[in-house]
Order: sequence, then structure tokens, then C-alpha cells
Amino acid sequence: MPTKIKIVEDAQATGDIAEAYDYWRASSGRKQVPGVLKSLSARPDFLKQAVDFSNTIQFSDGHLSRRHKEMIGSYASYLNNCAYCLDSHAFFLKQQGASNQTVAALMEGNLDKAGLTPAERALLDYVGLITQAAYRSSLEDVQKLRDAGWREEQIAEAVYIIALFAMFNRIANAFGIPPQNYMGLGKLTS
Amino acid sequence: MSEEKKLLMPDYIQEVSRGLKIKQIQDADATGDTAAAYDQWRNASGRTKMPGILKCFGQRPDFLRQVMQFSNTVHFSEGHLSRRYKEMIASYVSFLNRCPY
Repeated sequence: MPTKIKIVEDAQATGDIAEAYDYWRASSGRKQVPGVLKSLSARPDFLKQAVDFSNTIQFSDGHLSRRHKEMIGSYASYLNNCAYCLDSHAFFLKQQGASNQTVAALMEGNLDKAGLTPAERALLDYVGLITQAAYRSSLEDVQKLRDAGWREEQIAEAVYIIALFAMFNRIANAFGIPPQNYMGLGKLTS
Repeated sequence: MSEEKKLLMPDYIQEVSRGLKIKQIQDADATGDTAAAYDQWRNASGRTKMPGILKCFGQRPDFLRQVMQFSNTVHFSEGHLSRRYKEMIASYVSFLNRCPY
């Protein structure tokens, strides 16, 4: 299936683009560059930075755990209608130990059925608010997170991750990257 | 805020002007790696006060450094698009997202 905006495939990459793809391959230990990163092939310098900052803020434990980061990523991708990102991050969420029920419910955007703790529910309600209309969030909305037990630096990091998904969800949807079907395959591509 | 000024400002700007919703690490309170990242921006920009948008990242100075780098790479420099067109895009997107900052 062709993408809406042209991307450079693995086999066609030369020069700086090939080097940036190899940079991701070395960092991940995998071969096939994910479509969302190929969307950045028009700027291979930016692509390498995106690999780095994604590792810093999403693909590692921080103030928030990897599991909570993937919960945020999955739910934000659902709300932004990004099938590509929802598939991959639901799979990562499962890899982080979430139950099948939690993953299935988040893929349908159903927080009531996701078996969330009250703190996780407050976090995902906030993900909804910031994803749909960040400007409308209030002091009281943030206080609800503190009351649920989240620390200030965890709330800050949650915002960075919500914003990271706002960015990648838009890139994947604008380019029209086909989902990798990690959930269907039950594994990552090589 | 004066009543006159309130009338001129949309609701969402009044909400923002109520103050910070999430705590930021201010210039004077920064220590350790956060202070070092803030200093890096001050040295590169030649300015003395950190912009509020960058202070939002004070809780993760490692990420803040990367944000400054990729912003320079893709936004604050000529690329396939000119600086002028990039700022046109940014201004209109900020209007649509209701981000007065």
C-alpha cells in the first residue's frame, strides 16, 4: 500500500538516509525500519535526533515506568485515531506486563473496562484532556492527579509523552503509514 | 487583571494567565543538571532568562537538551522550507491549538 507522502524504503536508502536507518538498526538490534521513522527520511539529521529523544523519554524508565508510558501512548494514539501507533504501543504495553483485558480495553478507548487503578484512571483521564484540548486543562485538573498520588515530575513527564504522541500520531496519519500488525502477529517485525 | 483587559482576552487566555498549572523549575531555583542545561541555552542564545516553554522541560534536563537540539535542526534553521514558511506554519498551528504563548 503506497503512503500518502513519499517515504524512502529500506532497500532504496542511500547516503545520510541509509546512515540514519543504520543508526536506528544499531540502537534497536532490528532490521526493518518502522514506517513512522521512515516518515522522517526527508531529514535524516532529524531522524537520528528522533531516535535519541524517543529512547530518552519513551523507551526507558523515567519518573514514570515504561508500563505507564505505554498506557499513555496507547490511549493517546486511540484518541488521535492513529491505528499504526495504537498497534505498536498496545503491543509494547503487553510486553510491559499489562493484562490482555487492559490492552484490549485501551484499544477500544474503554477506560471503564481496562482494570485500571484509581491513579491510572486519573492519569488516563488527564491524557484525554490534554490530547483533546490542553488549553482547557485547569489547576483543578492537575490537582486531581496530585490527589491520586502522582508527583509533580511524573505529571510533567506525562505531558511530554502526551505531546510526543501528538507529534508521532500526526506524522503517521499524515504520511499514511500502514500498521505493522504487531498485535496480530504477536511479535515485532525483525 | 482589569475588567477592560478581560473583555479583550478570550477565556482560554484568561485561564492561562491564572498562573502555572504544573510546577516549573525557575531560573533561580535550578540546580545540578537542570542548571547546566539552562546555562547551555543561555550561552547559545546570549539571553539571560529561560523561556517558559523550555522551563516546562526542567524536570528532565536530558530531554530538554534534545528538545533544544531538534528544535534548532528542524525549526530554527533553513531546511527544505524557509524560516519564514516554518514560522507561518507555527503561528497558524498555535492559533488553531489555542496556544497564546
